[in-house]
Amino acid sequence: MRWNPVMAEWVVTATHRQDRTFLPPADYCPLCPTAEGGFPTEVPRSKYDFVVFENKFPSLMKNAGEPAVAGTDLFPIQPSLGICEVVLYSSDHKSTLSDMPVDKLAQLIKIWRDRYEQLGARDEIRYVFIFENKGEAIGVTIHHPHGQIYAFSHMPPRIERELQSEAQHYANTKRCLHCDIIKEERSDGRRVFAENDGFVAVIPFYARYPYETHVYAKQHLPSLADFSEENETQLAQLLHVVLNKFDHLFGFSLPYMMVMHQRPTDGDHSAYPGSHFHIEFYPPNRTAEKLKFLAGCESGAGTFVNDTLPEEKAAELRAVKPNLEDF
Amino acid sequence: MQDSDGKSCVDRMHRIKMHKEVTVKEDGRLLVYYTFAATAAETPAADKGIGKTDKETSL
Repeated sequence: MRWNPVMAEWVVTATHRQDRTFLPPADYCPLCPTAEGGFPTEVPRSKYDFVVFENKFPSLMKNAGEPAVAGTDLFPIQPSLGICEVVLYSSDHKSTLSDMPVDKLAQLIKIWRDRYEQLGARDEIRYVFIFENKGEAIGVTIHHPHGQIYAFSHMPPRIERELQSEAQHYANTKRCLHCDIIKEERSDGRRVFAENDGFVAVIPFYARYPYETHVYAKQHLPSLADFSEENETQLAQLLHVVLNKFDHLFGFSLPYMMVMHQRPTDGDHSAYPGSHFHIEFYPPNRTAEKLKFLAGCESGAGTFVNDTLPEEKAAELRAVKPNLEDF
Repeated sequence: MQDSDGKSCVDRMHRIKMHKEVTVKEDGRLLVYYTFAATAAETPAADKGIGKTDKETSL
């Protein structure tokens, strides 16, 4: 990693990723099961339910070597230490998360929890970041349904900024920032588009993307490790609804980035009283045909320009009524 | 929210157990198979013991 002294953040260099698999034909998908007599994929068995494996082209490595260029006082360097895993949701190449029934989604949540606990237990890991990139519009290079996990040995800057805001709010009020956000969003109601007893889905007041969606635990649950089985099922139920609303919004499978924010794993839990589990979705579409790009203002100045009102976009998603047998 | 058998999903999920089989690929990378099965109270004998619950010592 190379330190950017201007922005005070690390930049990971991973040149071997230039050679990673790029949009292979479905017959040569490296994430499908290995068929009898077929070419060997990442999974040597002929069928599977869920599989997790270490990424062949990791951005972060357990035994990260020294960077190719020596650092200086102004430009420090550091090994890109960490672990990158791939989570295969299904052996069915064409399925998506929104196709999954609720009980299968609940199983996936148990796996996310297990990875959070396993990776977070390692001394060098400070933050377990679970995410999914879906769709070519996001830059996906393999279509097989899968997510990823980056276990960071450093605190990523956006997470660090969130932790600082949580800590400041807690110092001022002795309350969780996210609990207050949920309370205000539910009280207002205009940006909430789905909820059940345990979780709520909202396009937040400060959404950067037109259909940016945050799924919050209504209880103060700092991380997946704090979930009861009922919480897991409740989250699965709400994800099922949110994902199917996404796919019925424009009549096609909506691309998105899905990221999870939760308690860091670098020590005493009491050090993070403001951590509150939530999932953030960033669909790039602003209409069926038009995408939101991170252009000059967003990339160069860091200020997002949202061409829409979250209240109007939430109303659109409330009006979408997918025909779900189990909801 | 109920299943076709009339049982609530929450009740049903409480009886699902996660099994984990930890393996290592030829190049040394971790590969874990996850399967889910009903717990002993409801599981046919033939379905028991799927996978292993090894600790991930390879990590």
